[in-house]
Amino acid sequence: MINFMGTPSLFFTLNPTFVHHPLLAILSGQNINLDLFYDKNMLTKNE
Amino acid sequence: MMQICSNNPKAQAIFVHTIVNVIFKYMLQVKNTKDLSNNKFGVLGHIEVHYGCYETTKNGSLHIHTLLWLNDFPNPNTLIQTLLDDDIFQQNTINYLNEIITRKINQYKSCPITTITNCIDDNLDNIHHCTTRPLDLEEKTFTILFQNDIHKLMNICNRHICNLTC
Repeated sequence: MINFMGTPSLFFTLNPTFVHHPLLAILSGQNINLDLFYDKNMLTKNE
Repeated sequence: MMQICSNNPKAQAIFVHTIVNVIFKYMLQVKNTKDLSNNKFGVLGHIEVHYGCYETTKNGSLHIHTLLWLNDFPNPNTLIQTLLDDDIFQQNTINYLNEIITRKINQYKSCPITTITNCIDDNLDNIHHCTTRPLDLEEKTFTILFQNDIHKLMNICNRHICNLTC
């Protein structure tokens, strides 16, 4: 690819935090009420 | 939570894929091969090509290393030559770097709770910042909340904590 395009302009690493993320808690089958998901007070309780 | 994650590799894969997709599609505005008419600017400008591969860390969490080729990005040799020759470009680059790199966090002072009635985050200092919901853009006090957010995030993620090997 470098042969065709030349030197890349940027190199970066994405490392999404998963330990604290509510989305993963839902995907992994935690009992979370989705009706309250948009509530401001909704936080994961699995710390 | 760590235990739950390591027992659910599939959930984790879906999660990382979702987040990465969202970042690429909406933040960087990477062009879809099926729809080349997308001419929107991303946060880094127009992206010509991107290439990345997923890896796992020792504790099993996924991350992605990516190479980006931006449209109209100067060749490194040209860039160095322009930096040496063009005084205005030189000054602009220095100003830009001064603007984005800082070693102070004092400028983002934490907001006092009394000024913001719905600032619930301050009452829950023991909960990790990443678990809270993102800020509401339509909130009237968004700017203050955002500053507060940056302050907290910097304190958690960017502050060095000495350990035995330091």
